[in-house]
Amino acid sequence: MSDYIERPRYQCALGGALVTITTLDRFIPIVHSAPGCASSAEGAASTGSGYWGSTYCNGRATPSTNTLEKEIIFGGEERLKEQIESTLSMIDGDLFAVITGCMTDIIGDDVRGVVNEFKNAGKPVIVAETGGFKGNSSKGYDYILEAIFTQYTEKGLEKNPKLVNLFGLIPTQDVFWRGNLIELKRLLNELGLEVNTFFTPSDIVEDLRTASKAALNIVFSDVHGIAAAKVFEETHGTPFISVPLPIGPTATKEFLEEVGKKFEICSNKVQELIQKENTWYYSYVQNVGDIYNDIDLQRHAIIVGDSNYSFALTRFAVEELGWIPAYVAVTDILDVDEKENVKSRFDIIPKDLRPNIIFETNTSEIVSSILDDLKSTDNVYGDLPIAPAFVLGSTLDRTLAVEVNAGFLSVSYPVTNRVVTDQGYAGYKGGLRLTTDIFSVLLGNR
Amino acid sequence: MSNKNLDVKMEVEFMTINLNNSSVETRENRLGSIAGYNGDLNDLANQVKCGTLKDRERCFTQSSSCDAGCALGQLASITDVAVINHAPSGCTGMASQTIVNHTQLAAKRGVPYTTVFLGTDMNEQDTVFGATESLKEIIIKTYQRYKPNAIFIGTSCVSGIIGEDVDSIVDELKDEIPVPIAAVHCEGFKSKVWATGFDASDHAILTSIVKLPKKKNNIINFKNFNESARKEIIKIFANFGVKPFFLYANTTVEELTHLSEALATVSICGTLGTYLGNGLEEKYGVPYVKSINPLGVVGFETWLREIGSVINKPEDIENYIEKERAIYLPKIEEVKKELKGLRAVLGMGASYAFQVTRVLQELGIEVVWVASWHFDSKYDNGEIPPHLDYLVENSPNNFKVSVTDQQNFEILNILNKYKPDIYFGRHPGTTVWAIKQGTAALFLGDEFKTFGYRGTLDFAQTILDTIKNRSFEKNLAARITLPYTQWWYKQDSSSLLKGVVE
Repeated sequence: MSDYIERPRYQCALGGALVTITTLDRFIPIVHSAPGCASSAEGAASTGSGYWGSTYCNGRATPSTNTLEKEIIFGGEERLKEQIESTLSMIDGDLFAVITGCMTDIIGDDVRGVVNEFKNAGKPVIVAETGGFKGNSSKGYDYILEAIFTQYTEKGLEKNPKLVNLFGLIPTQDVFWRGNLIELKRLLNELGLEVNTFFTPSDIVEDLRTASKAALNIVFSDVHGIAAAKVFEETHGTPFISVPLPIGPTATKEFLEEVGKKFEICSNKVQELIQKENTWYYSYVQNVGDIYNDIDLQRHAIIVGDSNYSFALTRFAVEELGWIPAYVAVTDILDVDEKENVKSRFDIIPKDLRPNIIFETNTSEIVSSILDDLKSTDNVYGDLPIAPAFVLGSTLDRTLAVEVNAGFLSVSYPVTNRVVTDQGYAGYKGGLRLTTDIFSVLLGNR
Repeated sequence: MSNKNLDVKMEVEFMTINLNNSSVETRENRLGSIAGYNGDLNDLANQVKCGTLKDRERCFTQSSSCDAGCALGQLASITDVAVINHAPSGCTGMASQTIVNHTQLAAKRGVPYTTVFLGTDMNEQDTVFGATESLKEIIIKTYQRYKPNAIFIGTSCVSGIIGEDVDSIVDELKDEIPVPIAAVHCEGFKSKVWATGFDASDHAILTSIVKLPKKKNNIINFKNFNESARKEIIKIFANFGVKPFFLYANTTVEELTHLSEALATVSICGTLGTYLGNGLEEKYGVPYVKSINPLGVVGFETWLREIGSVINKPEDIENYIEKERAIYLPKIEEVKKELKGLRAVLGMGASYAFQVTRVLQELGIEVVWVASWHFDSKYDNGEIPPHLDYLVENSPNNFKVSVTDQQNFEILNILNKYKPDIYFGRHPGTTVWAIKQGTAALFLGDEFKTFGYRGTLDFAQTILDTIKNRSFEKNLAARITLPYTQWWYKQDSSSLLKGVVE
């Protein structure tokens, strides 16, 4: 630790792994940690992701060894063994994953040894060491995926040249992961590809077992899921590409063309799909063009989000809404290389529209650095130099919106002022929904 | 107050509160609290009286809560402090929701809320090299940046296991930082009874905030969560010439320094109030009202009379009771007719589980099973919780009791077997499982839901509403699958309890 964090915009590694598991029906977590770890992580993820709530076996149903002082002194392996045995008879599941917390990682329980006993007896149990001090949800997502790919996903299956796996959208951390995955799958299906999304309500555990058949892994992130995709490639020989989350027609066109090239799909087919989707998209957008102009819905944008959303939303604001991005805060905890990767994405934004990029996770620091900068800027509008403004961020950033007198829509984690179910912002459908949601906010008081 | 001498004697004998230690003793050690039991009301009461009540562990457990959530959540509800959680980032994941809740409570009252909830983001390196120096810097920086009126530093599993000496850091910084600063020892592995976290927050307040009384005032300290009956209680207390001071939500550090000057302390919840109430009584002679809680008619009247005797205004109390009875009792009798024949199961904290049971029985509802998240064999005054004695004497049936820390598998097994008309819970994420299984459920998140005559009537009507239209849970239950095996539903709900813990 080098500095404090305010109200984290993510969970710990254990939390990231836990929500990734419990997103999927019949995939059962066995948390080997203190009694409060799972509920703290799930409570935050559940409310922070637009009230995701309870699934097949999460929340109060999450099996957890609830280790206490006794286990710290005498070790927790026996307790874990007992808990795995009882969970297997209590819970009707297809796959069980032991994930560990800080305390069991520090005391050094041989969890792999314990789990191996069950594996050797033919039980569907895997294990990942996910002590919370090892990193945030992003790391936890990678750890559990690596565990799945190396311990569960079948090796040596024949490749299906049309099958792709989608990764990089961490359940709940991407508040709209379900809707996003559904739209991305729809588009890729239209190109003639078969798609594993893994983490929507219609997915089944079996898809993870046969995921090694895929010809390509697409990681919709520069950060989340990259390490896991590398492990996948080493283990199963499937290469991966890392692409930004495409929101709206321009970004999605580019995405479809890239995938088309990768799979050597006839370019006419790709262009036909793009044409069809564009027609659909603009058949609605042309109608809202009236109100967009009549009351001038152009805004100066401030965007706050993780590495996936900060860029994707900025691009959407520039290319689709005709807005002027003023500031972008990237809220992930990133190393130097990851920061460079994320930053370089913004190179495609025309120079005169390129925003100030801040790497900062603390809400109040984001507010003060933007306000300080605004104070030092010439004020040509008589109000704030960026009036009228709009903040696309998390619910935490509503205070910033109030400070700069801006409209506000919560998109990035945590989103606590909306209920999110099947909404998504990816692709064409998502782009239209985002336009609709943003304009609805601006007209909300009419 | 005729038995004051006796009280003092008992306190010496049963002293559980030690304000010279920096950390609070766990409820298991202080109050003989347990988290695993299966039996019934009379057996539980007998075992408590005979001192034979022993905790039992389980061979299968589900996620619960920890001390830190309770302790730091309570402290963060004060409006002008900094809470620093010396922990990995995930442990501070709750901060966002906590701050949202408290900001809204403050907005409702129209008071400023400037509290910050920070985490030190401990990482793998810190587990090897320690992090006390960084913690020190963070505390200083937090003071300079936010200028809070007090700083509380919470400990965690990680800081506890690697042996971070937070007390020394606090001592070192006391000269440097001009506001109260306290370590709050709430390691998540410390106690199986997470209500120990409430005690940890009270301990921090008693040891670092409360000052010696300068002059007595006409205030009654009122320990609660959300102040939702604030206006109503101000009005009630005005009849007796006293004012309530609700804590900790929406209080300032300055206000809390005066807790020692109050006429008395009361608490909406026995679990929540025992440490602060008894602590203020032991250290400053502020009487703690230890009667059953003001839920339901009997609870409210017993509690008011106890307050009346403490503030020496028994007649005012009787006049008030007579007046209010005339307004509300006929209405309550009326609604009781509609509730007759209903059967209920409850799953709640150690005080509410039994207090709400009493209210339901007053309303003529049959309570078939009480699941208590933990059980305190005594409170910090050395006495058995009064609600247990009350039920032993007054309950129409010897209902089943289990002590089970939010263990969902046991609750669903019980609901499946007893098929009650309604399930009552008070903890987020608990009642949803009842409706997923098709049992109507009422979430009593508002601690004042059954407060006094008006609250009891309101509660009765809400129960009627809950069972009136059950389409939501009926549809849901018919279309989703629950995770438990058929094998489990055939077992007795207590079958995964192991032998007693010595």
